[in-house]
Amino acid sequence: MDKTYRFRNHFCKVLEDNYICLLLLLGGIITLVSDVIIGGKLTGDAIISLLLCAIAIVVIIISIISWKKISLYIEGPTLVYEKNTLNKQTITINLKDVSNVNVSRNIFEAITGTRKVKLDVNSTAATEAEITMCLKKNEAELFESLVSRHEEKIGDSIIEDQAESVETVQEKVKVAGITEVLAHSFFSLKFFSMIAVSLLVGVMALFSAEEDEVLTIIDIGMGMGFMTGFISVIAGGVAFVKQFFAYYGFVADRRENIINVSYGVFNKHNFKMPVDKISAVVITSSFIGRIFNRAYIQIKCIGVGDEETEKSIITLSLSKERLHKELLRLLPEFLPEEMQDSLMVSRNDMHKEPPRVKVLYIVYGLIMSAFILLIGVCAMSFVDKQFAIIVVAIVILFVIYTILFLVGKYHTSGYLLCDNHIVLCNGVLSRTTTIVRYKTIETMVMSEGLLLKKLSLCRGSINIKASLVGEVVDICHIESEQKQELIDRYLG
Amino acid sequence: MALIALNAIISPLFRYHRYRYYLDSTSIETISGYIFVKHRIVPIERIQNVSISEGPIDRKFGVGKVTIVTGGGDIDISNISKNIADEICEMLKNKINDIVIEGRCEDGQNI
Repeated sequence: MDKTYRFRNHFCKVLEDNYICLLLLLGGIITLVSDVIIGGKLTGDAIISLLLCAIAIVVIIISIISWKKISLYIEGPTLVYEKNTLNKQTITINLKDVSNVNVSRNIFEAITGTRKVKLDVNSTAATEAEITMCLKKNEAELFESLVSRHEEKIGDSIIEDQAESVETVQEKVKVAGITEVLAHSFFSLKFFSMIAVSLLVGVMALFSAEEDEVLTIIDIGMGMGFMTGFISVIAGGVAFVKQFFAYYGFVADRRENIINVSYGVFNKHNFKMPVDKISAVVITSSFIGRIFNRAYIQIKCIGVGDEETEKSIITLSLSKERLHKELLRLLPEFLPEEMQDSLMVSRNDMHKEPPRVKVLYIVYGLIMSAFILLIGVCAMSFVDKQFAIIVVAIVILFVIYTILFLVGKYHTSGYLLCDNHIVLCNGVLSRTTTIVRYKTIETMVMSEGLLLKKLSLCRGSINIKASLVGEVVDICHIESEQKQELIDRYLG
Repeated sequence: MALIALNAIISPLFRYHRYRYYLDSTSIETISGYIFVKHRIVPIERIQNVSISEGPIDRKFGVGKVTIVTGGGDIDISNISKNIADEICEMLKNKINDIVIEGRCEDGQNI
């Protein structure tokens, strides 16, 4: 009979979850002490503090009772999560269905010697898709090993041999150097969105200038330019530093059929994902990355990358050749035969959208431009003459943006139908190349409008398992004749 | 306003005549839409659960909606008679059971 391993949240979870109540309690006690003991009378502030303290104590007591009644146990191939609080809940999971285990820690957990263990199930039902526990470091490692045993099917030895802990395994693989992390932090910056946001903030700041202040066109232009440049540099710097700390100490390795990824300084993450639960591989090249011919690989897997501090990357920004080697080392299952020799991440390697699509983009461009002009004309009637020139400039900027958007989209989109994979290339300034195995596509939607039908074209999308709600990947415009070929390949 | 009113009258007729669904041993397909026609395809082995729903108006006309849920999106077969909805549900249930049994046999588990 299988041994039962029981786990319960560490007490520091109560402290972490209720830190606001604890601060409130502390503040309340200080006020009470200063008013009643030092001042010698019960003031109105002291009564309010007393009430707040009482509320905080009740919340903390409820939290402690809930903490005592939540437990998790593993017996053989089954994991049972029991929550015997006011709303009782028992979740039973077959460990074979676990899509990933994430062991993470923030600064508070590093001080208390605990780890947050998050487990995701290969299901889109939110109620049973995610379980989070706060465990002591050695308990977290044992838990991870127990779950991994069923994912890897490598027997019980790993449980008994706790000497080979997560840290020991990581020592065997190459940790990314500071230069690589710095380079990745730079190449993954979203340059265009930073400028757009800065421009918006700059315009808003100028509009909120004092009304009696008379601004000339040169003043406005200089002001906007200065504000945009200043905010872009600050935002870029902050994003760069954040990226550096997020990816510091990056390690990605494969053991049997498990991908191990570890990274971070303040929020350290350690993911374990079975290869068969990975839905797709996404090769992303930011605008800066495209200029310098760099890209990084992300994976699509339920539960990975669904929180702000979680990144679903398995490589840092690398050159095409190194990226190809890394994909061969980590996930050769996602390399189609056509890509065995080199990684096709440029549009020239793919089937381009048929040239007739240009007609469609011109029509879209004209409709969008007419819509923007209409909004511009309406806006002109509401603003002062002084700002009319700014409205005209904004309208021109939006029209140029629309044209650039459509040109960028046409030059980036592409596709490749392989025997077992479909490769889809999307983007405008940045480029994402998604490699999906037909067997991991959940649903496919092909659509045709009146104009598309006239041009004998169609487009569509595929749904894959990713995060909690699934992800849609667009299929660019293809010839109508190829639609049936695509469906036949999908249905096998 | 006139255009919106006209669209509200015309579009259901077009949608009704356009709507098709197709089921076989491997997949479920639906074709729907008015100006933009959508062709949805789901292989049966990707289905996670199937449900039938009917609102008060549906009950009045004896129709229902079959919702087929997969790991990455749903597909609806709507406005079909209740009997056909039940038949589809039963057929899909049997298919899913067969697939699960096959999977367990491949894994060498006891059924």
